[in-house]
Amino acid sequence: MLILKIAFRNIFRQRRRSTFTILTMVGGFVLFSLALSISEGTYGTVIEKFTKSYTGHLQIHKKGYLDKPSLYKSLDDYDSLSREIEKIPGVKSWTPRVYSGALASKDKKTGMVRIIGINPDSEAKTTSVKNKIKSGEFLKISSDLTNDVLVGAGLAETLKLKLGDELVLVGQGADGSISNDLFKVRGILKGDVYSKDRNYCYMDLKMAQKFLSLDKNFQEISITVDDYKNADLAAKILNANLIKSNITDLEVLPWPQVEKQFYNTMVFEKRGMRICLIVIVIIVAIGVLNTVLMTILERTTEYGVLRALGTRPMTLFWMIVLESAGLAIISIIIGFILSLILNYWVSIHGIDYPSPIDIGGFTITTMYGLVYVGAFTGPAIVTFFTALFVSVAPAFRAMKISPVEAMRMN
Amino acid sequence: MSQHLQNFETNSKYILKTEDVIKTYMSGEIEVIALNKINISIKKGEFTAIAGPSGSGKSTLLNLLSGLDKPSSGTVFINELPISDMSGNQLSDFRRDHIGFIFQSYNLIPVLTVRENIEYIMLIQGIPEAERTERVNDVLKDVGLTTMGNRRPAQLSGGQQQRVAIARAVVSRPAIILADEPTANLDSVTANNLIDMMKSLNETKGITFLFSTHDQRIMDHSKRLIILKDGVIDSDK
Repeated sequence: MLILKIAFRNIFRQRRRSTFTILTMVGGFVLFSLALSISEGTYGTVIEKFTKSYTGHLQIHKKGYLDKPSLYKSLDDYDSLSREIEKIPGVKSWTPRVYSGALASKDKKTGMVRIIGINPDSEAKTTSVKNKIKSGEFLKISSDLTNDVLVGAGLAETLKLKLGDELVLVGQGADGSISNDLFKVRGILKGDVYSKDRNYCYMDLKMAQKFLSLDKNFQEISITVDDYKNADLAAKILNANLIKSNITDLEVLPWPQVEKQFYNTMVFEKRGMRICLIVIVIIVAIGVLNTVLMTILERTTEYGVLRALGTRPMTLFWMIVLESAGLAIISIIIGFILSLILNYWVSIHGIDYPSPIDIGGFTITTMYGLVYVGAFTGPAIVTFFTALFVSVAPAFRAMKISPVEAMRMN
Repeated sequence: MSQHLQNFETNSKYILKTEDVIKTYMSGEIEVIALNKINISIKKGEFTAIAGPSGSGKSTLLNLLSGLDKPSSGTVFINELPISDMSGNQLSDFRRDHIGFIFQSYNLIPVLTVRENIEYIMLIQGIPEAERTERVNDVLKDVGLTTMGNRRPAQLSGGQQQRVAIARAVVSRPAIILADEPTANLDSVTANNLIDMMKSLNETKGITFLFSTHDQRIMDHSKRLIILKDGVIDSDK
């Protein structure tokens, strides 16, 4: 207990130096916590927005569809698949889709489009396509066939399309026939010529199935669950359930596998963040090491006296390590309070990028923080153990002090 | 611990004994003989001073007798136990349990109060709190610092600090107290008071003192005076 008391009182012995060390550690803690908060907050927001915009959290396809998409790799029993999807814990919504390529033309202008057949009702519940309408309206929910389409901003720009304009789509049906029809622009999507959905052409699922001679077949079911972090688990459960129901020709993939490029970009960005974190750890370590070394140099005589009085070397070791631990604990408490305030502020107000940045084809303009436990426990663990780690070598040095030599320095 | 100390004190004829102790050290490439074949023995209850000119080997001898340093050859015995072969931890425990130190510059722990400084050795000995408190109260009375228990060393005069150092040395009831120039930093009045106090502790409580000193007053009060000269015992009276 007295050892603890000595260690603790030693912290306040050189107040200026201890204050400087604590400030260094607090600074490191706050930066570390903020970096984690922004990392999770921004990337979490980007992932959530991205999956909400396009992919959903997981998807069901015919095996191999994503590697080599084809009109013929289609699903046919939507109702029985829906019953399996309903069993996934935390599932929120799902929607079927049809994909194909086509040639679009208006007047003398032509362009390539990606046809996406959607169910307007379930799509609106699953993704945010409905909210991406820049002008016009979302597709009508109707049991009748309609030839309305929503076009991407790039396509609208290329073909000079306006609301109500007609465009001709020419594609290939699943039966090998050439399909062509006249469609009417009901809405134009937000974005520009660089957006991921610049050449998308959304139409009603039934219309797309008819246009592409797919009967009631479709290529994909997109599913959302309560949290994108649960996508992996949900995919595993659904895969297992499908196998149990003898459906073995389908695959369920979480969003990181569906959108590999986007996911890899996110991983790369996070790795970049880790380098910043390592730099912060090094700054903290140098600050603490400097203090501990100065302390030992300054208190050599005192340690010699303690050794002479019969203090075991290991007790001396713990006295020094405990002092560093005390500094770390004080820093962690202060750092936690400051980080909580800062992270909360950033989670509400965000920090604007000087100019919008593109992550995996998705544009973000503001970084937002996320207040979560890991943003505090991570820096706390790192600060505490960094302080302990860097104090070990000087403490060993103090252990080896010869009492005679040490007291001679007095 | 106390039991062990009692056995130690009652069984030994000599508290400290050296046999042909030699201590050499290197000064550059030259070997310097600091102590040469020292043979001394200290009995319980002695009040002995080791004197001699600077560089005669007084402090070196005290360091060897306390186990702070090891002889180049020869053996130091405490209660007929050779301390030269002890490991680091054994030596620490040995000093903690059997030796009390009084240093020239007091060497109190600045962050601890007077009471805590005195209590320190008993605490690492594992003596129960009630006994520690009782002993600290007693020894504070002995050194006349009853009202200063909660002060920090920096709030005391040099003489008061040395009293605390004496209290710290005697409170754990060691076999012997080794005092290295204990009066060197004190004015003559304070020094006289302290010498009287140590003499009184020696006579009333039977505490054994061994001084390394230049101070004539300590030499005058000593029952035995060992003079060292150039690393050898010049006289032992």
